[in-house]
Amino acid sequence: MRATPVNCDGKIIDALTVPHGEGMPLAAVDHQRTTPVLKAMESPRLHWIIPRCGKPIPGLGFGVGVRQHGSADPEEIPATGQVNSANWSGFQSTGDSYTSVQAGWNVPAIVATCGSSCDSYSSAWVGLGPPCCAATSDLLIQDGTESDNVNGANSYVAWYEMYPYQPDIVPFPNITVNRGDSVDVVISNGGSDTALFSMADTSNGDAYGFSQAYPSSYTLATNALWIMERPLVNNNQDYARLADFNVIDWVGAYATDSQGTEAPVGNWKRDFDYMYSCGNTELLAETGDISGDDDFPVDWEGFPTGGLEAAPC
Amino acid sequence: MRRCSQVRALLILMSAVALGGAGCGQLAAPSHVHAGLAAASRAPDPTRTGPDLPQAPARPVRPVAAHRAIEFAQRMLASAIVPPGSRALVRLRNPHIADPGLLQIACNPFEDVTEWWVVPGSPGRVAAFLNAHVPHGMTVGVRDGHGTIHRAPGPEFESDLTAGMHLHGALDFTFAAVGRKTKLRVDAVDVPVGAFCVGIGYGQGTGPSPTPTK
Repeated sequence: MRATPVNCDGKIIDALTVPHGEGMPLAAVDHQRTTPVLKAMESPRLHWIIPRCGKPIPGLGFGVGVRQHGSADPEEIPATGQVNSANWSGFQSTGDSYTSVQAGWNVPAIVATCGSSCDSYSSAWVGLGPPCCAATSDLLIQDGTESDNVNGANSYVAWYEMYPYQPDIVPFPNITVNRGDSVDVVISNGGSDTALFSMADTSNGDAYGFSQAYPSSYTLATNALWIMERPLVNNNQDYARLADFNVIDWVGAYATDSQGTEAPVGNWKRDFDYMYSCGNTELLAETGDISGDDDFPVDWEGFPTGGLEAAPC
Repeated sequence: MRRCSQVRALLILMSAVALGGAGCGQLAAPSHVHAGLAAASRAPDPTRTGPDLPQAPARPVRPVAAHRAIEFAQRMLASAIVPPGSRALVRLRNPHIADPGLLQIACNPFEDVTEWWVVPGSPGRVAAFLNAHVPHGMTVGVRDGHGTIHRAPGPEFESDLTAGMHLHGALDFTFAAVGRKTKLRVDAVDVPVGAFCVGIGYGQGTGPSPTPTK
């Protein structure tokens, strides 16, 4: 028997529809919209629907509009340190071990940073993984949205990734985002070498979740991450120009630790990342103060002026 | 099969909210699948072995290179060894499977060719057969971003010739149990060197500050 996915209003979601009219998906996930980078690691899997009516799935720590706070919810504590990063801006937890991270934001509308003569990229995501700037080969699992300007045209896409097992972003199945859309994103450690990805675009009603296995040779790092990133391009050899997203406001930024306590970002020990160009010569993105324990902005400051930078710095 | 245990774990999770219910290997094919089935014109040869895979030039992707990538994927697909008694189903008319608008932002180009089979036996038995019949020129596992091949959760084979010529070249198998048979989907995927991909990775430091000059 297969689970029947339904929306909050009871509408059945046909996750088996093949959008391009060809082929037949054999599992309950639309393989036609995934890339081979993903496909080489896909396995038959089930899907579930993000409980957008405030009906959280136990273990995922997720419920848009309904926050389940643990009894040991700590008081807000200040960020303890600033980390200068070549590609990240946002918050990263320090200490503790986390099993789930979530947040919402509006997909940033971007403007071309240098006309049609050059491309620029920006990625907003939540993740479980190693903090910046650890020397590690541990697994980083992420899902988020991309706001890019390529060949003079803006593009917006939802994606997920498991780095370095899967080093390039993969379009998130069954989620279509546009600029300004409100998205809620959750990522969780599913145990048994499995990551759980969930995303809902509350502007257009798209919602989807799935599990993804990874090789047992990887160790999943467990820091909670809320990050705005300038991606890697050119076969992961260069930092892209950071697209001008103006400001992104993170809302409902929560994490659940290994004890099952769910609390907002402001209540966890954390560092804030500032994105600088290589050599700290230009500030690219700045992380703002937390308000209400779970909201914070990241401001765009520059792209940098020198254009692409070789990675790592 | 490890994959099954992961599905079970997920099912336990899902059963708490009454969304689950499927068993391991019991992902039922949708009813509309049957309507699209067609008799296969090519019966599988269980004794066939995969040909040596061609080498593609390491140069920026151009139409010719993309064409060769399709050929490479097709050769990989042809090298897959399916169990005796397998019956081929329908072929994609168009080997390009994905929405270009989405893929432009992931990897561009990449190629994927797919075929489907109905195979006697359970998904577990089919997977065991596949893992015991790795095509010539391929290795069990998936190559990561550093070029290391990892044993993957399911039957997946990576081309031995990928490094230096292809970012990814792999065979991927997907299963659905239907009664005592298994529907098997085989994907041969190829991302040639020179393909443009967007990667989100580790947080990295900014390096040393430039030395002040007078």
